[in-house]
Amino acid sequence: MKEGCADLVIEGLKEAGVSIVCTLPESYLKQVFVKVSRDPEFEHVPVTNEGEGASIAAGVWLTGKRAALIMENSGLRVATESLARLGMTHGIPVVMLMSYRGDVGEEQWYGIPHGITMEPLLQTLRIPYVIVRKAEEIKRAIGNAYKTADSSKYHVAVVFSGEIVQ
Amino acid sequence: MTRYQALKVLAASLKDELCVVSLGGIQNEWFNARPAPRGASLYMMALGCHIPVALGVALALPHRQVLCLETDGSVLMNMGVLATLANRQPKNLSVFVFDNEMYECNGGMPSHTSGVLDLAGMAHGAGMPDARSVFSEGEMREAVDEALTSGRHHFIVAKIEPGTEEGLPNKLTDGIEDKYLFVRYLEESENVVVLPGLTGEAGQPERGRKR
Repeated sequence: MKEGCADLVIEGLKEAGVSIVCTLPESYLKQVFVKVSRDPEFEHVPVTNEGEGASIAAGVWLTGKRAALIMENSGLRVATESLARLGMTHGIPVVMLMSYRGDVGEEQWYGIPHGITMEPLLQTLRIPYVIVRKAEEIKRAIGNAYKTADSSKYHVAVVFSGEIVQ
Repeated sequence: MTRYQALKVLAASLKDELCVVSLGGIQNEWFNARPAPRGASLYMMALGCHIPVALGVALALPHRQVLCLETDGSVLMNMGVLATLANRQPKNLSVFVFDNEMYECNGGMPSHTSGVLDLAGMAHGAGMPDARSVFSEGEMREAVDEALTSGRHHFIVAKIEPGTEEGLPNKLTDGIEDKYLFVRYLEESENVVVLPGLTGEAGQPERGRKR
């Protein structure tokens, strides 16, 4: 992700009131992970898999604070069971920020499956999502994701693609 | 030691501690062992999620004691959380794993802890020096006292006999109502807004504000 765009992600998270950020590193968003890990305004929680990160973020939501899970879109496959339990069984939302590996323009063969599975999986889980491809859309998309997560009590995904990550 | 005996030992020492409770026979037994404050216990049906949810609550409320009442089947589904837990070890979070060495509520097939696997040993190896197993009510009582008073993180595996206490009244709420009961209890006891409801100003999120 471009440096300036990563700054906008950080600003968007802060303006949404996010204080705890769970991450699993990934190359498109690596600048975001570095900034989160160095920013004293965030409690940074590295996790071992995205299901665990979703669950930690869900626990934070229960208290009135806000958390984010930042991940690669392949992690959606890992997190599916946890997300179904947290969201459908309990109505506890998680806001996910993820890269769109496998979008049109993907240069790596191993990124292709992530594009094939991401949108159908989000739709199967009935998770609303917004695909952000312009820098000027970043902050509004993050703010809107938290509004909808709170009003729907269900997960929302913000997906980064196009010129801001490639 | 049966699970219900172990749970009663734990419940007898609690005041307003927050508990994230795993699924299976443990739910109804805990519902009876600690009937009040009802909302202080979050009953979950989410194998592999209980410890990380408890960790999220504990990180967000560092002044509040949080307990996770976990089961062997659930912790086995997400062993990675032991690594995350070990690297943080929040002082206000203790994990109790009630280990009956089987998937009891759906037929009693053995879990891996019925073999050579030692969950407390794995937690200890992950870097949690206080991790240990307890085998009797007396040991359970000592572990509970230490967990609640030492100001350190604890990981305790309660080795329990198979079986579920019979004749107890049933918890009748579902996962959504259990969520709301927990959230409303937190709002009350923390004097904070979690769900702004219909009174929030349009477009102005009030989550996290003091009430």
